[in-house]
Amino acid sequence: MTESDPRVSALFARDTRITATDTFTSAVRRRISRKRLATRVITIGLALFFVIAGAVAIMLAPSTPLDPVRRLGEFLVSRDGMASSAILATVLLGWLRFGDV
Amino acid sequence: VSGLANAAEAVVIGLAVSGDASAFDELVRRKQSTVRSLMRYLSRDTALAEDLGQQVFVEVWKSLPRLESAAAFHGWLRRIAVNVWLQETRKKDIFSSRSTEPWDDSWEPEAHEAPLGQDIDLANALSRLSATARLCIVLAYHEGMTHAEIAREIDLPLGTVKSHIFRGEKRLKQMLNDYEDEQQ
Repeated sequence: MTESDPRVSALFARDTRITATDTFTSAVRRRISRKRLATRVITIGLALFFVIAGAVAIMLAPSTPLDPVRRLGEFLVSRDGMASSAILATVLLGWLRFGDV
Repeated sequence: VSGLANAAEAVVIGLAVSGDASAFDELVRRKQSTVRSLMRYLSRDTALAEDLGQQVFVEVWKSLPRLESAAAFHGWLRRIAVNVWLQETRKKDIFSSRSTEPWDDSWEPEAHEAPLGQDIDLANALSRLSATARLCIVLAYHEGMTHAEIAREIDLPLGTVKSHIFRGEKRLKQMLNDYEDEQQ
């Protein structure tokens, strides 16, 4: 049994198809370039932010960043820390494989 | 003209998946007509249809590494296009008090919409259908999908899809009749 109506099919068949243009291809290419650039800017910006923030913290109060580092070390060797690290590693691997990079 | 212009589609898709920019351009060149037509039928606005068409290819570029086989490309591309359109419809719905939710059939076209031109304009005729009926009709007639495939693709019961298509066809045929009566 056919599912399509012949008059509606004819309506679609008669309709003028949009032809391919280089303008459209160029517009897509420009959007992708902008997206790539934005991703790079965000990645570099975030990295710079953390580096600068760390440097400033060390300069202004050397003991502040050192204490969290020691605490982090203690946490990582605990049972909760190991479980969290395993979960984080799994999430990170998943994001690198399937994430929107 | 790209050196890939005469290459087999599976080769072009394979190269694009591996990150070849000129293969991706060739893919855009080959598939834009289908995607832009689909968007023109689904959207009421030509400029929006072009914008959504571009968004579809940006999504394709982002997701290409996850494409499992070249043979699945067409269905995969169509799914991305439908999702881009659905997202746009839902986004508009958030900012609009009038419901244009694709699954809400309570919305009916307004009386002041542009009249059909000298020759029946399919995009214009489709714009007079509810969003769901339009999507179902376009997938059935433009994409050649069966009602069961449409139901699976847009996650609606088969009976609902059949009912939207029946009502959409009825309305399109009514418009055709009106047009033919005007011509006589």
